[in-house]
Amino acid sequence: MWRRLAANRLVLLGTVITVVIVTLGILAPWISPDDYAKQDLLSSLEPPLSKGHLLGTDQLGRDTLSRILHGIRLSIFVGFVITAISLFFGGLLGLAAGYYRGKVDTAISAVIDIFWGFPLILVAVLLVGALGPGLLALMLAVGLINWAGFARVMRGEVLALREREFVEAARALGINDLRIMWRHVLPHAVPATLVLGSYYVALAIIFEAGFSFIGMGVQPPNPSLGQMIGEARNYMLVDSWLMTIPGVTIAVLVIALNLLGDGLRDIFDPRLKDN
Amino acid sequence: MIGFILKRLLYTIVVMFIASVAIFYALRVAPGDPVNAILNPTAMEQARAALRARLGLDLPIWEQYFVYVKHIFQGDTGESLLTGKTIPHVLATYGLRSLVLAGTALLIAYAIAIPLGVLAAVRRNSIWDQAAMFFANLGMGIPSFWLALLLILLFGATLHWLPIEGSGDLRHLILPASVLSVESLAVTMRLMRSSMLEQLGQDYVRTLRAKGVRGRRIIWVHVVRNALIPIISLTGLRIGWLIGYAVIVETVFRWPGLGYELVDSVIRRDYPVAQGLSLLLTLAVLSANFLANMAYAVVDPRLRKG
Repeated sequence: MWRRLAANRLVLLGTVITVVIVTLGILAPWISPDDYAKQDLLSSLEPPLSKGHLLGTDQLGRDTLSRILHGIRLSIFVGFVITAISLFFGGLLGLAAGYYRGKVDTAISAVIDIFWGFPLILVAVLLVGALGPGLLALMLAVGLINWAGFARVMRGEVLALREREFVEAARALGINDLRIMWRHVLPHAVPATLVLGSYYVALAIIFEAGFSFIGMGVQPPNPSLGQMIGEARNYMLVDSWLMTIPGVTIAVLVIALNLLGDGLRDIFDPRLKDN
Repeated sequence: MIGFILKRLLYTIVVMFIASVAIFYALRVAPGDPVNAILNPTAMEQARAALRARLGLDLPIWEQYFVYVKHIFQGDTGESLLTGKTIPHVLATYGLRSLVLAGTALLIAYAIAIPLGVLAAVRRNSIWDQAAMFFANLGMGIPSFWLALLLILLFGATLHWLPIEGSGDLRHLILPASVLSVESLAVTMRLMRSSMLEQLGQDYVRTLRAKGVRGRRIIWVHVVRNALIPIISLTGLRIGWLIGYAVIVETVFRWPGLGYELVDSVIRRDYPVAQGLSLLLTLAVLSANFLANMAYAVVDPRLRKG
């Protein structure tokens, strides 16, 4: 798999950048040069490469590099954690629906369709209204909608897989359903859900940034890349670095994740190559 | 086909019902009281209680819901708690602005993405192809609100060519519609390219070549037409996505559309407006999905039974 990921230069680039950024995010508390919330009004709005602040400071004199690193950490947390949770539940329901068919499928599919019909933004706005702005409402919203995507893909895969000879053979041998699902069906359905997962991580990251940008997501002083851009908006004409740095960071991270997703898709599903 | 339509219609009604309950509940369990937004903060408790009773806010939530539904079926859709405007008026005003924004964005996206997708596929691996795919990746990665700020900085603050917020004449539409179109443009271009590549590999293309039909004619008359099918069937979903995503773009440009007003009414606890706009947004997305399903069924008769 690694060799095939490396075969395409763009995909390789995406993978390397993703790994680097994720590592930076995870290590943020230990490698940040400064406290992300520490204010120093005497050295506010310093440009990048100024003394003691590699990427400069914001309007309150907080170190931009430290805030960016912690912002990345938060983006990655939101992106990966919420995707993993929705993949788990969505995958489980999709597996059950596809494997058992009949009434189980009808019931689960109905629930999937209902959640699938809701606009994510609306769910997020309402949850923010109900729970107050913050990470919890945002992650709940993304999770509530995205599990349905995983369930759809998983169900489709399993519906096709259960008719294959090796599953029939396992059934003929008298192996019980749970074991067939776990050992014989699931491994074949993982690739397709993983491909979707890599795009969903990118989507969740963009979504968190967008929501924090309009002030309904992560609240200060906690740093989020989107919220940093939102704050920088007021200083756009004075110091455009302040909004450029987090913007570029999000763009690079999302593009890298999308390239990685393209690569995974080409490996797992060569039929879709060049899509 | 009729069975299919009825089934989708039933689905839409069920989702709308669940949405209406969820929206109603989510708004009311939240801390905050619309009475505070209407009355002077120094108003006496009796005055607050009286207003609450007049608005029906002293009832249990489920009872409030039944009153709400009853009023709607009696043709009384209510009015904004803060501005007194009737809900149909509010929905028509903001809904129309969002529709204009999303529609323009879709037009921009398709007008650029489809020709470029064709070009990229026909000149596969050429510099055109690589440039188009580079911009597609860029377009999918750049956060729209950040792009919006960059454009505001360039065209509004530096060059003074375009207004940067509000709505009014056509010039107000240019920046928000362009920003909103970028993601759709990138996705559609990729889709058009891969759809073209798939069609170019089909037997009928070889047959046409063998018959001596000119290359350009094959591409534009035969291949493009077939390659457009997935784009057309996904247009419904695209519109739904654009209307939903417009919330963030509308907020950046202070474009007074559905999304901007929805966020505002939720924050200010203007229940009737927030409910109306939420339901309109849900209905818009459901209708867009419905159209997408219809388009699929028209394109692929096998799906009509579903």
